[in-house]
Amino acid sequence: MLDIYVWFYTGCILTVLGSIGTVMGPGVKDPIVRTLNTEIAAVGVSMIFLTYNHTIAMLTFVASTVIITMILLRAVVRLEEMGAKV
Amino acid sequence: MALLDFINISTISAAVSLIGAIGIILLPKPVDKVIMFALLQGGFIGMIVAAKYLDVAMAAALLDPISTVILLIAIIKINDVRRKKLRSQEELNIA
Repeated sequence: MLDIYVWFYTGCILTVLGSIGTVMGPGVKDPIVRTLNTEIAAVGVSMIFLTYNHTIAMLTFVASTVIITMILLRAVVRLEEMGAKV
Repeated sequence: MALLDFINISTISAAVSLIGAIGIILLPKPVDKVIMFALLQGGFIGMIVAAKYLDVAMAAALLDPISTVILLIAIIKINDVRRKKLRSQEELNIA
């Protein structure tokens, strides 16, 4: 019974901490740092899914996080190559 | 021994993932962040194992290193692009 609370509270802490870190963490002017900070919030949301036994949702969320990371980083590198001011 | 009651797989996983999260937020260099990200995902997989969803743990353990590899490739590439841009700017200044 205690385990469920540990998962849920860790998930909540990671989600809030990751969101605040994405908005105003150290060095977030660099887009690659900001993209890395969003991963914390993604893992936190996955932990909340785990608390409610939503395994299929969690699996889909982890897989789509990987794919969206790939696309976002590709876009960031491409924009940096073009020298765009975003 | 009340303290030993807290040593189980989900408490240790929670501690590891919290350390990873704080490390990702506070360390400024991207490569250090990727190392701390591996720590965060290790805690996450430990937590799935504590819930006894071993098939989900297998899938997550296969998907997480893909994310790490993509991040490393992007960091190397963006470093390369920035250095090349700096060099071309210096050549422009000399000429």
